Amino acid sequence: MMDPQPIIITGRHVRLEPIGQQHAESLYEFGQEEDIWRYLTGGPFTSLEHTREWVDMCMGRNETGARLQFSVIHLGDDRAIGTTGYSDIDRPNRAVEIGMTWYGAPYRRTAVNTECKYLLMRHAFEDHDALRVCLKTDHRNERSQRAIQRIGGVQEGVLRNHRIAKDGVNRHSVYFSIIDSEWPDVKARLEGMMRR
Amino acid sequence: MNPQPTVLTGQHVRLEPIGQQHANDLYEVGKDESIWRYLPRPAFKDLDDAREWIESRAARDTNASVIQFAVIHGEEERAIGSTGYLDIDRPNRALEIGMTWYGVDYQRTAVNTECKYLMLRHAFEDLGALRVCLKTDHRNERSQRAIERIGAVFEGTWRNHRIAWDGANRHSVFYSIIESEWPDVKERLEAMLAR
Repeated sequence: MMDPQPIIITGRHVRLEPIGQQHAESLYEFGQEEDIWRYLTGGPFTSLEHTREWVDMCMGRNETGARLQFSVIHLGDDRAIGTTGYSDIDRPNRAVEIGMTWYGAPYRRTAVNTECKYLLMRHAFEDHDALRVCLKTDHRNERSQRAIQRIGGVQEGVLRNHRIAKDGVNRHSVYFSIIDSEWPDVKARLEGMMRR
Repeated sequence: MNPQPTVLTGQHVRLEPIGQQHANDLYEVGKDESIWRYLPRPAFKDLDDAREWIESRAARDTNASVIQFAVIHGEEERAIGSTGYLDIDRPNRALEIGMTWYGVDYQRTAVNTECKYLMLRHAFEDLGALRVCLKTDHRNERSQRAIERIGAVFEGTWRNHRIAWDGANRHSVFYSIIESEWPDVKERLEAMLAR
């Protein structure tokens, strides 16, 4: 039975903690940057109060059980530097999506994203017997598409006019997945990337 | 875009919001196992089972994410199948057409073409949809051909998307029609119906 719960998942560079108000000040500091939110909704944060409201909304969604969003705690700096999580948990079909992912500027293109994906996928496939982990992204977000391919995500297709983006553009969503039979290879690849 | 339960009337069929008044008819045509092979549940065991399924599909409120219809055959004045709007995404003006089944005698007739025509026309012309999606089990090649025949565009195959009721890992084949394609698809469907 796949049933992920709000737990703490610890790696070598980061720790994933269910998002809470104790992370708001640090998330506010990094989440004011516009670039982070080009393809995401919620920010950029305009005040600590705004950040706290957003965190409240995320916590509310976590309570429904359909999502599980974590703050990414950088172990070396001992502070929240972004968020990620399971954005669509389909328990009967043992499928999850990984999303809601953003990191503060100093932590992009570092080991942080690789390890976050590693921890979330390992937890899904090994602790919860997931059959499918999917990732989707805006068709204009080529950086994200390359990052997903780099970790071994297989492109499945493009859903056209999937969303109306906040800038009013018709957003097409590019879907990638990793299925259970591919996890051993993807795991080895991620472990190789993290050793470098 | 804000779809609500409504009646859609064509030349061969009428789509009515599903209700218990359709239970006897739907049970009669829906006890055939072949119909349910690729749907998310097996054939109706008995009339109560059909009633429970109808109850589970009936829209609960004005913000429902599913609007299921009974397909009434015009000449026979009885329900011969069902289809629905699924995964209704109002803010993004997107929806899916699915959970579609017809009694064996009505498969490969004008019924499906007209149902799709009525539902697509309502979605694009009355509701302002930007996207209508159709998906099917990767093993269901007949359904894939039927979807391609009406002019929907293949978008991809989602692997291990579901566990089918027979235990198989189901891959879902996704198709869509977007608003800019609707005039061509409409013409194609009208030509098919005029034959």
